[in-house]
This record gives sequence, structure tokens and C-alpha cells, in this order.
Amino acid sequence: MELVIDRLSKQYKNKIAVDRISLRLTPGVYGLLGANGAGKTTLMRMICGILKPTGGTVVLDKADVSTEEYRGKLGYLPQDFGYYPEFTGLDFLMYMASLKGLEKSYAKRKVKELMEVVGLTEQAKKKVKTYSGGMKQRLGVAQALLNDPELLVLDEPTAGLDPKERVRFRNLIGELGKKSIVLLSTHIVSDIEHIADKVLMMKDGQLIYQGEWTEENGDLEEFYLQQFGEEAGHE
Amino acid sequence: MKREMKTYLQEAFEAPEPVKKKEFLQMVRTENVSTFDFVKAQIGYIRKRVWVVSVFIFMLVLASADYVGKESIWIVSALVPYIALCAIAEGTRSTAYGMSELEMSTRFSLKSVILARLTAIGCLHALLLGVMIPVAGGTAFLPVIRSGIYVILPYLLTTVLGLLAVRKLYDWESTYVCMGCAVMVSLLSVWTRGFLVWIYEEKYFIWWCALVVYLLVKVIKEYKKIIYQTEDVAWN
Repeated sequence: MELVIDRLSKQYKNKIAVDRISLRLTPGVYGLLGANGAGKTTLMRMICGILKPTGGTVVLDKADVSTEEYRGKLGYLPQDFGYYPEFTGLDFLMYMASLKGLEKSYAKRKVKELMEVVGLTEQAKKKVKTYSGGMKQRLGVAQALLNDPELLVLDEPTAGLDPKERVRFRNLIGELGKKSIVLLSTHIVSDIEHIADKVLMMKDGQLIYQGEWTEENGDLEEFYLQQFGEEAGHE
Repeated sequence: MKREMKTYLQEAFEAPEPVKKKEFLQMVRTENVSTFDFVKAQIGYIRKRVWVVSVFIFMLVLASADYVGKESIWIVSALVPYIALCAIAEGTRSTAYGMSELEMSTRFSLKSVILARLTAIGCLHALLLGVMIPVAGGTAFLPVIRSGIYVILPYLLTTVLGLLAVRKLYDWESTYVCMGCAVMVSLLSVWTRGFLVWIYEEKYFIWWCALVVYLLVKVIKEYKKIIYQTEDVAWN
């Protein structure tokens, strides 16, 4: 299983959001680090087929990003997502399961299982609008896992989670990374340190670092701040 | 197996705990659904109010045909914007409630969702209009085609204005603007019938047809723009 990203670019009128990024990802957890506006979300959206690239290709095991076959293997958690106001947590997951093309009886089993995994079994029949931010985020993680994705893309997945939930989430991602390609973006450096097998660092639309981060490399947060020191100084 | 036998067996033997249940279930996982099954499932997710409003207006028109007689065609053209409002609301729900990004990343993506919903609602509306137009038009002694044009134009006008509102506002508040558009077109229908009766004369019918064609093309373009805009607005 391999995700091949070849010279992927996204250009707007007077800004290059993603600048010719090339990657080959195999099963494992990849942490995407970068400051606000570095291009992380744009890159993720192109990998998920939501945004059309200006140039380059994205292929997962010979399936191009624009195909139904590709999307069938994809699980995506956006940075922020909405919901239909009449949906309960259960309705939301069943709806997403129908969009992912899951057969109804299988979907019911899978939804029940995932509700337990993310700890929302008791809130399953409550409306999503009554959920806290953390609960909504966990629901988002659950929907991303419905189709047992080979490629899991998570944009700021730990935002809104309390420390206990964050640890639970890290364990879950660690397990998933054994069989799937997991790409997660975050501002929280400690999440990357604990979960990611490899680190991808973006700045101004370009990859400035990719590879494993070991103790010999030093402190990741310090390296991150050095790279983005200009932006950190302005804050 | 008889119930008693089953009970005796359950009491006599303890079933072993399932081992590797998850792996087994994944092995026997059934085939993914077909496109037809997906469309069928989407019909279930169309809000009940869409069916209720559409059928209610239909029943109202049929009832009025008896009591109001030849003016019933104008009642249809005044009520039809509210039927169009249902279609707009369902077709643009994903955008209005921030579900677009999630729906664009699934196997059956946003375009499929919108198409499935609109196909189902379109079929219902075509059926209802197909009955309402000849019934109401007949009472006014108008040919079916002419009656159809007088009814379809406010439907399309409401749709175009509503889609424009959704594209410009791009959030759930656009629903209220769409309602306003429907009310406006409905009142316009009533007003033109009262104060601009001459535009309904046969010699101007060709202009009505041209306007319907124009609005039909606009509707298709507006839907395409909404889907295209979703990715750009998501980034911005």
C-alpha cells in the first residue's frame, strides 16, 4: 500500500499555497507540522480530493485521487465540520456510512463498535447539537473510521480533546498506523512526538523536513520554533 | 429446533467466548452498496417537510379547482414557488449546514448526494405538476402547454433566486433569504395577474417560453457554480 504524491501544487491568484510537494507514504503515522498558513490544510484537502490541484498528482495504489475507488479507501476528519441539526450521533454516523457505501446491516454493527471505541455509546441517541466540542470531535474521528480506511487524513484531530481523551486518541492512532497510512496535522508538537513514526514539516507551502525524528535530532519543539521563529516572535 | 430443546441446551452448555470476532466479521463483510441502493437511501434522508409541503400544496390546488374554477391556474402559479423552495433547501443543505467538506471526501461524493436528492424531489414535483397543470389549466380553458409554462416559470424563477442567495451567503441564513425569494415570486405572480393581465395574452406567449428556457439554463449553471464554489470557499 503506497500513497504517491508527485509535485503537488495549489496556486491562487497571488499566493502559492502548496509548492510542488512530492511524497511517498507507506503504512505508518505521519505527523504534519507547520504554522498557520503553511499549507497543511490545503495539502490535506488535495489529498482527500476536495480541492483540485493546480499541478501534480495523488495516487493511492494506482487509484487516482479523483476516482470513487480512491475515496472508498479514504477516511477524512476536517479541521471543522458541520452537521444536520436533526441528527443524533447515531444518525450522523449511519448517514456517513451510507455515503461511504456501506451496507446497512454492516454499518449498524460498525457504528455501534465505533461509538464504543470513541466513548460515545451513552450519547448516541442524543442530538449532535447538544454535544460538547470534544464529543463532536470524537464523533468526527468515528466517522473517519467507518470504512476501515487505508488512508486516514486527520486535520487537527486532538483539538478540543481533554488530556485523557488525547491519550486514548493517541493509542487508537498508533494501532491504526500499523495497517493504514495515517496523516495527521497538528500544532501540538507533543502529539507528533508521541504518535508519529515520521515528521513532515511545512513552511510557506513547501516541505522543509521529512523523516523520522529521533532523540539524536534533539528536541522537536525547539527545532519547530527555530524554523518558525519569526512567526513565534510576532505572537 | 423446538424452544424447549434450545432452552435445555443453553442451560446444559456454556457457549465459549468469541475469538477474533472482529477479523471474522471483516471477512464476511457484505459487498458495498450499488448506486441504486445509494439513491434509495438518500431518499430516506430527505426531510419529511419536503414531502408534506409538496403534497399539501398539491391537495390545496386540487381542492381549489372545484371551488375557484378558472382562477385555479393562477393559484397554482402563486403556490409553486413554495414547492421550489423545498427543492432548493434540500439541494443546498450540505452547504448550508457545513457538511460539504465531509460529503466531498466520501465514496458517493457531494455531487452524487445533490443529484440523488434533486432527482427524487424532481420526480415528485414533476408528478405533482403533471397533475396540477392540466387540472387547473383545464378549468381556465387554457391549453396544457400554456398552463405549464405559466406554472413552471415562477418555479424556475424561485429556484434561480434561491440558488443565487445560497451561493452569495454560503451559510444557513441563506435559507431565510430563499424563503423571502419564494414569497416575493409568489406575490409577483398574484400582482401580475391583477395588474398586468395583458402579459398573459397569447401573443406574448413566445416571450414566456424564451424566459423559461433562459431560467432553466440559469438553474443548471447556478447548481454547477455552487458545487464548484464549495472547494474555494472551504479554503478561504
